[in-house]
Amino acid sequence: MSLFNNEKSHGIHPPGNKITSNKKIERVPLPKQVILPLSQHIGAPSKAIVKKGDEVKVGQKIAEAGGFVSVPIHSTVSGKVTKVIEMVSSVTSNVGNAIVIEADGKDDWVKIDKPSKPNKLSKKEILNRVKEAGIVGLGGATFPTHVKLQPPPDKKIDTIIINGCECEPFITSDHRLMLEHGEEILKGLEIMMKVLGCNEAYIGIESNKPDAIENMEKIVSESNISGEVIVELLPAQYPMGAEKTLLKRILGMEVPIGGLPMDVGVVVQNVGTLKAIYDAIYDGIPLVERVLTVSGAVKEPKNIISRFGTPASEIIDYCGGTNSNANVMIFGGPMMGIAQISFDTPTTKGTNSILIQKNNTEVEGNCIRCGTCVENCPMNLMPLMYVAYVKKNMYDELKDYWIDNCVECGSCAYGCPANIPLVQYIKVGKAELQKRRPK
Amino acid sequence: MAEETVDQKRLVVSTSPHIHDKKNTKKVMYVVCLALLLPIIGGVYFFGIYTLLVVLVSVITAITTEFLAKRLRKREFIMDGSAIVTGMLFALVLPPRIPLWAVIIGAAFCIAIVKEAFGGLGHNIFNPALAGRAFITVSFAGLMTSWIAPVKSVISLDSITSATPLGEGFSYAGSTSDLYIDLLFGNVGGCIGETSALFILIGGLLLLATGVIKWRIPVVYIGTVFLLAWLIPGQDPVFHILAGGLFLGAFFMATDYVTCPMTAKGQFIFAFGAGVLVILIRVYGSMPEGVAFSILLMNAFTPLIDRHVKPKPYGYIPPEKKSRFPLKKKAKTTDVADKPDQDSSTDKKEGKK
Repeated sequence: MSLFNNEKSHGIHPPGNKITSNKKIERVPLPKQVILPLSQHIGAPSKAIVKKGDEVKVGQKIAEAGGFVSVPIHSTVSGKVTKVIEMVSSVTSNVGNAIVIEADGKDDWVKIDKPSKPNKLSKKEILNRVKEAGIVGLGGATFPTHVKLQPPPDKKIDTIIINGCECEPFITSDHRLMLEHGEEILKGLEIMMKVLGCNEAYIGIESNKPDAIENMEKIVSESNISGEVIVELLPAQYPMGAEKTLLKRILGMEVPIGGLPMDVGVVVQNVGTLKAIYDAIYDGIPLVERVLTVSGAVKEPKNIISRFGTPASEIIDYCGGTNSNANVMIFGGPMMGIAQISFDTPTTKGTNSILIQKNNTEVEGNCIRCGTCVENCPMNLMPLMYVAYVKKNMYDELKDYWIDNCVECGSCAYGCPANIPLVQYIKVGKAELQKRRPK
Repeated sequence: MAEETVDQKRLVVSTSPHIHDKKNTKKVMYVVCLALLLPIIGGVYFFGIYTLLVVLVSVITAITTEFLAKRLRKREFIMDGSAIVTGMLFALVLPPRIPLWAVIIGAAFCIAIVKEAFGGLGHNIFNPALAGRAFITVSFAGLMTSWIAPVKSVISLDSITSATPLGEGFSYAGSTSDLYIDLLFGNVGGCIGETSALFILIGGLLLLATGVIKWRIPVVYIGTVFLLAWLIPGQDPVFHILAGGLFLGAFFMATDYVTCPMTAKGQFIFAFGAGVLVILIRVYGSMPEGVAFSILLMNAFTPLIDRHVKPKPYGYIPPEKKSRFPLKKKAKTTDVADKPDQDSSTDKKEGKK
């Protein structure tokens, strides 16, 4: 421990609660109806190319990318477009359009364009296929993957970090993927390394998943890129899976404030995304489903694979329903997940977990300046200052404390003895600053 | 059953995180109370049952004053235990035979003026208990300098006037090692809770073990006093750290969350400054003891320290150096830098077409 700054210990150790880590991924029955929001990713919303009454098949493109930082959306069932509705986004809480498709239960796929020689595809073909498959970062941030694979020419990528940390409590979807689909993940990595032209990659896995580490190490050693890929054992500490903390832990360097990992020549990618890349390149299958963990106060916690747009209630019913006292449903993990307003909210590309629990928010007390938030902050910030300034409407001062550097991991609020919802204040502060920014 | 819960249940929405550490202000305060029981037991053992009365009166006055102050300020009174801590600490820094009316005045001052007038818990600049002691010292100097020797039996109300180890006129008959042992156990004159270094140390270790306080302030504070006393000719460093209120101050008062800096670096400055002040006051000042004033003075510096000692945020680039790659990478850098032109041109072609 350094005398002045115990950086190593920044972060927290919430109880893991990985109760589903031994449960095999199960496929839930096809939904009767799917609701597919046009904005399931970061960037411009997709543009619908189907209208009410159209017949669609599984994997058929129903919306085009709305710009460079955007991806197409595919139908996840076969059936008929019944309506286009306005709904509240499960991620940003903004109102946006969504396409509702009534399933016919036949599960007819569109004709799959499966490349005969996936190994021989050119960089351009790969990028195009990744984009057309609608692939986004499946760790939760949903950043379009094809953008990450095309860094600006002045940014040379030399290292890829594969994020298998899964530092959020409860979630085990990436863990199960590494156990059950390790080969596909590595093949996906191979494609990525080819596209980015780099020959150094790390797979970061937390020490609480020894079986996943063992499995990935075995697969790497048997592959033909074994010399270039290193499986890195990381301490089980939250937020190890945040890309900036992960990068620092593995490579010992920091991303400049306001920058992206590509500024230091690194791309960080989630294991689920690699599986999606594999599916798109080797099998020609677009992104229509994902693995997610259903955990917390449900009768039978499970890891399941489900089509996007499935209402959460159908997935919960498949897991035996909720316990009677549950009144909170979170998409994502307990640390950064978003509480949903209704059990009928459809899952989207970024939904890596459905967590049910009982509301446990407590009354906010006075800040006693204990410094726990400062101690916990992985970005070395002083979160309590944001609360003080936001309470006084002094938004410009927030910048003096580098509010934009905050990743909203929630470590500060988790440890706060006065139960202050720090993340809430930080989000308010950031939104206010965004409003004031000259357009 | 499942359908019913899914359709009819109203969901509660709140910001992340949705889980919380079990630590809360109340628990923190009660752990401190528990740790403070040890010096109180020490006080009762060495100075008799009357000291327990002092503690009780102080705590009850503190709680009552807080209740009344909240009423006056039209705020909700929450029993978070902070008034108990203040009451206990205030009693522990009083002479053993202080009259109860002075305890009441002091404890009321601690809460009403030092804490509530500044905005209540979390907003006070000075440690309430120490500021209360300073107030009583200034107002009733005679009361605050009448020390007694440890009594023979707990129920006794005897008082044999005696000097404190740091005070003038204190003379010790035995050898130095006997003096150290007496100081360690607390068998000397002094405030109710400050004499037994051992009891305070156990209480302090309890706080450290439960994570309520961090090691930095006590270690740096005591360490600075020890080092400086060792450097100044004619001073006995072991005597300086065991005598007086240094341990009580270092573990229970300098570590007060509200009035000490929040960052690790700031806490070092705070504790070091307090240590220097203790030695300056004890060796060169007119008062025999300087712990209370050293902490109060550093309390006054805390807002300044917090404003200027910020942790260096992740990815921070000092303004002078506008380097895009500020930090060293583990090993290789050269071989990459050699051939970026070629690769980037191919990237451009493929990306744009």
